[in-house]
Amino acid sequence: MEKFTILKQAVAGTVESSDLQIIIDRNEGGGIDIDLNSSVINQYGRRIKEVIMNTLQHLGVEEAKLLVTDKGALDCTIIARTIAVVHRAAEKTEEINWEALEEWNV
Amino acid sequence: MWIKKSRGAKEAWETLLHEAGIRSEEQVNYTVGVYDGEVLIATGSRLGNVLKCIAVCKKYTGGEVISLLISHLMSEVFDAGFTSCYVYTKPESVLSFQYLGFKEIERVKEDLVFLEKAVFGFEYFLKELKKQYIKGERIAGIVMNANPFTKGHRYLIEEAAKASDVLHVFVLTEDLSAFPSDVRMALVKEGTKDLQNVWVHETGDYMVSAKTFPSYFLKEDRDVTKIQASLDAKIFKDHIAKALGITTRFVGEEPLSVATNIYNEAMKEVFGEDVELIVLKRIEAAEEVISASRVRAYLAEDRMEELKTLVPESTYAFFLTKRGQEIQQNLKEKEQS
Amino acid sequence: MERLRRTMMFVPASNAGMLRDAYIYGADSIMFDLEDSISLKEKDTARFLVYQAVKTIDYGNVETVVRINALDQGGKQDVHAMVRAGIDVIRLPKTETAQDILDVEAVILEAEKASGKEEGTTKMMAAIEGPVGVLNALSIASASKRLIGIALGAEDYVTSMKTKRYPERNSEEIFFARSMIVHAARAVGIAAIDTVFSDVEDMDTLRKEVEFIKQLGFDGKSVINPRQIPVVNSVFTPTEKEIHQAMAVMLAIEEAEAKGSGVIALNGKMIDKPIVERAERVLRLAEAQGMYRKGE
Repeated sequence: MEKFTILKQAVAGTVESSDLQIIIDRNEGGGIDIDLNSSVINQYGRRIKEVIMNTLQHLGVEEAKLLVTDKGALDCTIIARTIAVVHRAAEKTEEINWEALEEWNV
Repeated sequence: MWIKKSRGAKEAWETLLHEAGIRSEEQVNYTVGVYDGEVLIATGSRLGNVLKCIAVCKKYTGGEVISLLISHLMSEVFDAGFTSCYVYTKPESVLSFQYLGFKEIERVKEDLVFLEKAVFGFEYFLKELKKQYIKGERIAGIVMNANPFTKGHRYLIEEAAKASDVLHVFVLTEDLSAFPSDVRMALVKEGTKDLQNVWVHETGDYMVSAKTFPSYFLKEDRDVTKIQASLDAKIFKDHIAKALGITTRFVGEEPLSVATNIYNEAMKEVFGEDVELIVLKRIEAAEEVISASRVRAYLAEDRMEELKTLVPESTYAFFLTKRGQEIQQNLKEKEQS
Repeated sequence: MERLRRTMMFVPASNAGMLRDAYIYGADSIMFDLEDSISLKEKDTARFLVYQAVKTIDYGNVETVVRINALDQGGKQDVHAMVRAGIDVIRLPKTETAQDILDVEAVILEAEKASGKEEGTTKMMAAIEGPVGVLNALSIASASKRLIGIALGAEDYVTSMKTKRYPERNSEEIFFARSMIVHAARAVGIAAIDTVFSDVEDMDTLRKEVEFIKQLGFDGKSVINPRQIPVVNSVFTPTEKEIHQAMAVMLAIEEAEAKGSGVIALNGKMIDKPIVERAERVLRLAEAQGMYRKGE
């Protein structure tokens, strides 16, 4: 499994309708901390966080602080934005390891 | 939108802003416009990491246009290398921004709300600040730009330190002065290292100077200063002073500045019983108050010998370094323009 | 039988909302764009977005196409991502020579092998956007068995030709390019797709343009706004008369087959292969518009 380490702050996604924006940063000694903003936080807040957490786990991210703004994103959008922001924060956007991603991303 | 270069663009911009009850401001790094065909229906600008001059034509309010506008401005802010983003807005618009992930830091009644979007934001700043809590009977604070650190600043700090057990000096972090913030911080630290009860901190993005305050959506100039001062004062009293146990705030006297007087009045009002505001007189050299602006003027005019009487050795030594000379050169060029 | 490609809708890959809703607009194909509509700094995020969307969302019968970047500008990663996501067609921008096709095909093969996908399942499409490509249209169209169509990208083409678009003057400036492309497509037996019509308010000129390209033999047109889809579809919709004639052809065939006759005639004329194909095509178009159902 490929493990990603957050090296710097990174942003992915937009706050336009149906999208999700994630700002991620390091979180030394703090595990994973997700701060979620969503107009549907009561119905879907837990699900959104779950999807993000799962994706982070698959990517081997152990420590990160996330500021998430949701505008009604589908699960696939949430996953895509999480994968993208982690790659950016870990500075791995040049050569992408598709095999590693495909192992868990069915 | 090239509002500085294109007359047409500037006019369209100003018209839209006026319709929304907002005054146009010259101080912006970047402006973007949203068009429906040829008509400008929304605009937003940024100065550094602060979003301002945001207006959406009434017909189009409803979330989509604002999301598009703010989304774009935010990515401009992050692309420029900032890790946090700020906005000052009217209370009516707060919800829109909260939906976009902004958190309210402080507000002034019905006039103004200050919001932030950051991973490690105000909460984190205060947490770190609390770690620097030092016990004492009289804990005081002083906020300064120190552009650059002069004997005048030294005097203020000395006097404040004499009257307190612990003195916290806050140096404005924003970078809009001739001397960059890292230099100003370093000079303050150098110039006060012998004072045992003085601790130097950054203000982060949480306290600003009159220069950056976006006053565009408030109605009159006098109100602007008062409201900005109230905001700053509230942030100081309710959060910063609380974190460090500060009960006194020192400020330098500024008899000639109307703005500063309005500022001090507003602070007194907000502080009430919780924080005491003490105004210190400034020291003089050659019968003139020692101020940073005077120092910058002399520097631009190469009056090096006279400068020795106005700044401490540590600051003077900096003027002779390569970086110091670069800054001096910039000041000279500004003088000539 | 070849699928219908009357409309190919452009969807910028960075728009999460459009990716989600794309299939409801009724286009025959959806083209996710990773190239010109995506800013340089968002190429990486857009790629992940389409990758995940195509993997997850059921686009039904709609053909999924992705316009990749040039191979040395991220295209390689685009191919790897989209092959794994299960995209139907990979569209190359600015194709100039047959070698361009072969270069991309090699990457597609690499990706298919690496991901365990059956080799050859990912199709290709070439967009011709300049004079060199136009002149090489036939060799480009013949370059690979994976090619299902070639398209014209007129904006870049007219710029290279040192002119501009004149939709109000029947777009004569692109007539040669269109002709070359439709000839190459027909010679090889693949689809010919016309360029976009940028004025989304002007439906009249759009209609005229679609009528013209249909006249030339094009299979369809690229669209940039869902509102253009019904206009394009209606031009490609056969008339009642055409439908009845086509049905008559099919009936004549059935009759001949029932009789065991090798020769099929209708109204005293021989019906040979091209006529049958045209009839089949008409009925397919009619079926798509809900005007005809097999067995009626």
